[in-house]
Amino acid sequence: MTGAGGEAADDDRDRALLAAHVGGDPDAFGTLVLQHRDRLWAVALRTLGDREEAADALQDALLSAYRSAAGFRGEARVTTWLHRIVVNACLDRVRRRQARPTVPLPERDGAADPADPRDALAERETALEVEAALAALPVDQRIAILLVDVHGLPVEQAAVVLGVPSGTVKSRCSRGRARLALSLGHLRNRPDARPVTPASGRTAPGAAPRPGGTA
Amino acid sequence: MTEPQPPGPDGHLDPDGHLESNGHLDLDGLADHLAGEVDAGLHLTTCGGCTARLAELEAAEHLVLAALRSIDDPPLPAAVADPLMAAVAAEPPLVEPTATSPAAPAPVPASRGATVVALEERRGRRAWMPAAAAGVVLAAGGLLGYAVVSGSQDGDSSESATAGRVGDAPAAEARGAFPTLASGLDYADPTALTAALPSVLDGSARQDSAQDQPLADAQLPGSPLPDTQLPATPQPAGSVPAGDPSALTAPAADPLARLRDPVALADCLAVVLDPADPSQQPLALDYATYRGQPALAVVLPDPDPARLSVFVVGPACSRADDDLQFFTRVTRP
Repeated sequence: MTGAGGEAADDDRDRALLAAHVGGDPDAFGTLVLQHRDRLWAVALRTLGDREEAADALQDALLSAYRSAAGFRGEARVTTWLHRIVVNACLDRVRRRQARPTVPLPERDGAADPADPRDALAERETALEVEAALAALPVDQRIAILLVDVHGLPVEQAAVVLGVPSGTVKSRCSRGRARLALSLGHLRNRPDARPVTPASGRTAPGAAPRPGGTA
Repeated sequence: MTEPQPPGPDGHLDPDGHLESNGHLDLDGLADHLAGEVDAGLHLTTCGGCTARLAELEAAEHLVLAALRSIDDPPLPAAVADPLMAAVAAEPPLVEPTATSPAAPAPVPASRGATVVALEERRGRRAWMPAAAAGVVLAAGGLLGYAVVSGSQDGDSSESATAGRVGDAPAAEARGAFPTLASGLDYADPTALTAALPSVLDGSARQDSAQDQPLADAQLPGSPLPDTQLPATPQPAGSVPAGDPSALTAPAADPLARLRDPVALADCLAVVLDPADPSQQPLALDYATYRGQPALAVVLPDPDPARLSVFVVGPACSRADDDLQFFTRVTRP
């Protein structure tokens, strides 16, 4: 994570690239995409839970951004603008296709694995549990948590991405965390613990889909 | 999903909407209270059960946050990235460049000296694919005969460092010599890049740690260093003499060690060198960082003589995966 100075420099760079693109530079937008594509991919994949859908959504979104770049008013960071377009593309797909979330299998780079294979296995299992629990959240809560808790966007920035008030982002994050706490077993021992039923829009502990979907 | 209710007269949301039939707050109500979006304080003062659940939820939230922050982003696979970049590259420019509206990018603010522009400008529009022509590989491999030994091999390198003029670079190109160093520079910082570029080009950039020894492990079987190319004079600070055995010992954990191997380096440089110009070679290689992560910066001549191209690649750089982190064009200092 870069500091505020680094983020400002990154945004300067992004604005220069976008201006160059709008001015006719045929390659500036590609360079801009290169800077952000990994994070945007992570958001799209975790939002949609399906690799093919996420790839289509990401491409649709970035081509849309390419064509509408002249409309960027500069009020938000370029990365916020890109996130918003990608998130909207994903939500459109969710609404249109009513896609059931599936759990992507994280494609880990072996170089990042810890030396001890037991640690690696435990970490991977934990990561899969978290990914599965995330995938089971209502999509609005899932995206809010992805933006704020996983990718570290300030609440205000996430609110711009999602087009909702900051309080709504806070609420979605908090509710999502509460559901994750249930799914991950952190509330298992509470005195009046009980499975949360699908009828109330919640997921019972252990009911999260297992990895191995279409990812 | 039920969104928070409209705020009450006190500015907080009404907790009554979250009361279950048993008179306790439901999970959303507790979560909204934790988020400060519902004031359930009055209820909590009279309900021990809800107070206990809230405390447990608050403690669990820390565990959940830690778990969320520990998961890695899924990497963007090439099967997704390549078509994506190709689709972007295939789009027509928004405005066709003309004599009166050149495609030159808008400059960043004056306080930052580097101008960020198109990555593919130097490579043509090859849709971000790695170079495949064998000639490119041969050219890159050939120049590495210089890359691994060059440093600044001529006796006047210290004078060049003192002068600090990028105008010396063409002469270095002609000699097949270019600095290979570990400046410690973070290429994500355009201001620092602009400030450091002269010393990167003339080889006087300083090494910031012994772990950043460039060219380590570079002298592999099959790539002997001709005696005639060993440096005969003291090298400028930050420029590692290729013939110095001490420079050939790298810590095993060095993420950039792979790119100090001549074959791997040639494979990587084939990605950034212009395939249409087999004689092209870097003006400087800098084993540095990008956004705090180890990265190799390759400084190349630019089609615009007044500028330089700077490619920054990650440790995995190869023709199979360019691992390109950043590209910028900068005004020759």
